[in-house]
Amino acid sequence: MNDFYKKVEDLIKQGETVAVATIVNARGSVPREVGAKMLIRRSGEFDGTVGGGCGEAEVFRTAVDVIETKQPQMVHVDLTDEIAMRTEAVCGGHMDIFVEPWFLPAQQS
Amino acid sequence: MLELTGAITAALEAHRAAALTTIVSVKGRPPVEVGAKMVLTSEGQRTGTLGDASLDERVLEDLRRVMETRQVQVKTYELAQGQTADVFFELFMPPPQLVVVGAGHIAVPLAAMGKMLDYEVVVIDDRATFANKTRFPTADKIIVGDYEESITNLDLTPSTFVVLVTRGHRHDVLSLRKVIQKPLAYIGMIGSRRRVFAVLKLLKDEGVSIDHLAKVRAPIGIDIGAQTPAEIAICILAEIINVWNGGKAVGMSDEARPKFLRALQKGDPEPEG
Repeated sequence: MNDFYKKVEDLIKQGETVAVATIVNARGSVPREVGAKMLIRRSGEFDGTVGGGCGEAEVFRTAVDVIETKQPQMVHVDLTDEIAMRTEAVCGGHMDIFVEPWFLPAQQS
Repeated sequence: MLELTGAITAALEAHRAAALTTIVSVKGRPPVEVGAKMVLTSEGQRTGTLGDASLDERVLEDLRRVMETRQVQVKTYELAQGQTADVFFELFMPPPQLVVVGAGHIAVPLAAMGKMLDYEVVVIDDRATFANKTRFPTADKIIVGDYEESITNLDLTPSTFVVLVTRGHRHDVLSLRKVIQKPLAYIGMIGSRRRVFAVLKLLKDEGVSIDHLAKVRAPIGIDIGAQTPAEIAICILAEIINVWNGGKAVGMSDEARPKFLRALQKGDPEPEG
């Protein structure tokens, strides 16, 4: 896990703002455990996973917004709804995923 | 944000656990911000702030319990009537350390297998003929010296497992006295029920609290009918893995403990059964 923050560190040192998504709450059957993390860059590149198909698209959309506004957001993923049930990624639980920006304050970058 | 990642890295390099705490949501507009972060080490060092001194304090108070369970989790704090903040605890743990006190016949397979499990292995004995590189080729550290002094000089942390397998009752007492009040992951002591009880009783008479005595895993290990030194090492390491991973196996000490503690509290010379 320390490698994860090493990557975050390297990117923000270059002046980039990245989004870090973390599963902070999970109920029912979910694809990954609380604490699972994903690093998302403005370019769309990413590292790690918060559960693949199950709600990850929503996390990506939010990450773009978080990088833009530099404001954290919470994503509530409901894997019990009809749309999720129709896809292959049927999981059947709920997750709260915290998506936050990591960047160096202006004077340091 | 670099000071936060820097504090985590520094803690891990010093074999300390660290936690990254983040406010992930709030209710009722408390005077703190979502996204505020603070790094805490197992030593209580703080970097950054969640934005409220009393909240920082309360999070620090909860840290030990969170580290003991090693469960990442969210905790909710009330800052004022109707104002709450949810704080996410993310944990960073150094590799666990296995300290083998006594370099006798059980210590040899114990140290070797401990290394297979990726523990940082330390072996202590006061006899150089036992504690040496020939007997313990894979150990990270071999200390030849007085038990009490050697243990006192070690860097013991909440990720440290101490296994007492010395050659005698007296050395167990000396060593146990040095570690029993420390917040370790595990303290196990080998010996028959009678020898174990005698050691605990001696420490009780010296004023060590029942709570501290209750943490000692003795008789040590999980009952797999171990006979040979290697089997006994497996029985001990099975218990260590069980503790570290929060498994469901029951140790021999879990069964003996109620009787031991009752006898200690009553001042009986021996436990019943």
